[in-house]
Amino acid sequence: MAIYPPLRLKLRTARALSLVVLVAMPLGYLGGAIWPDQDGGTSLPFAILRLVGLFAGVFLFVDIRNQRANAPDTMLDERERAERDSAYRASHYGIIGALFLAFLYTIPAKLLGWWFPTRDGAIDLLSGFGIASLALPGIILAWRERGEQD
Amino acid sequence: MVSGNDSINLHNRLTLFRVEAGLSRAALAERVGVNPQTIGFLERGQYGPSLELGLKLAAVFGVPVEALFSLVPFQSLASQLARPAAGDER
Repeated sequence: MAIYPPLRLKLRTARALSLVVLVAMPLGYLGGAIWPDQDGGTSLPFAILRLVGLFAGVFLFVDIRNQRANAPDTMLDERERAERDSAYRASHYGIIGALFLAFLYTIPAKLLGWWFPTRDGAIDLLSGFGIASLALPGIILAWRERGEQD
Repeated sequence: MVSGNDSINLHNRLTLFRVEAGLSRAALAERVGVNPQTIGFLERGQYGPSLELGLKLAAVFGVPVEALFSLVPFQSLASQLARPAAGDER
């Protein structure tokens, strides 16, 4: 019953990277969509935030915690299965909640003429949302994990 | 705490039995087929085992499962030892 992940980050590192993903991705993608540069593209600071968030997300995705979230049942003990299921439920609620808020925003936005993303901005937002969602179960597992000394 | 497992009011004496048996968490985990972290969660009362795991743990120590796990808090060892000692003094 062993998982051999590409990466085995220390708990503190995984948690730090998760904060980077949760801060940098929304700021980078949403900020870049709301405040494009003069040519309509993504301004440099937001592009850097996106890259930072993206690399942090990739590291988290290949870390053991996310690998454990995607492992088949036979490779996990009963507690790990329960944790994995709980992490996926929490991720599901988080993703559904974020989508619901976004859809909720569109109603007054259309009526009151609030900001709406361009087509490219919408694709960027969906990309950032997708990448953050991929890393979300591993993020939840990293924050629920207890340290080795416990 | 592992959400989704509702047995958070389960009391256990797993640490006591494990230490008395001279087993590390890793050794006990290997005997019952779980991750060592799971033993830690069990000992801290943050996870309630399935019936199968509870029985496996009891079998390791050669005790009934009720000796390891309980729905009511176990009496502390100190109070259990103090009572017979108080009785002897009379």
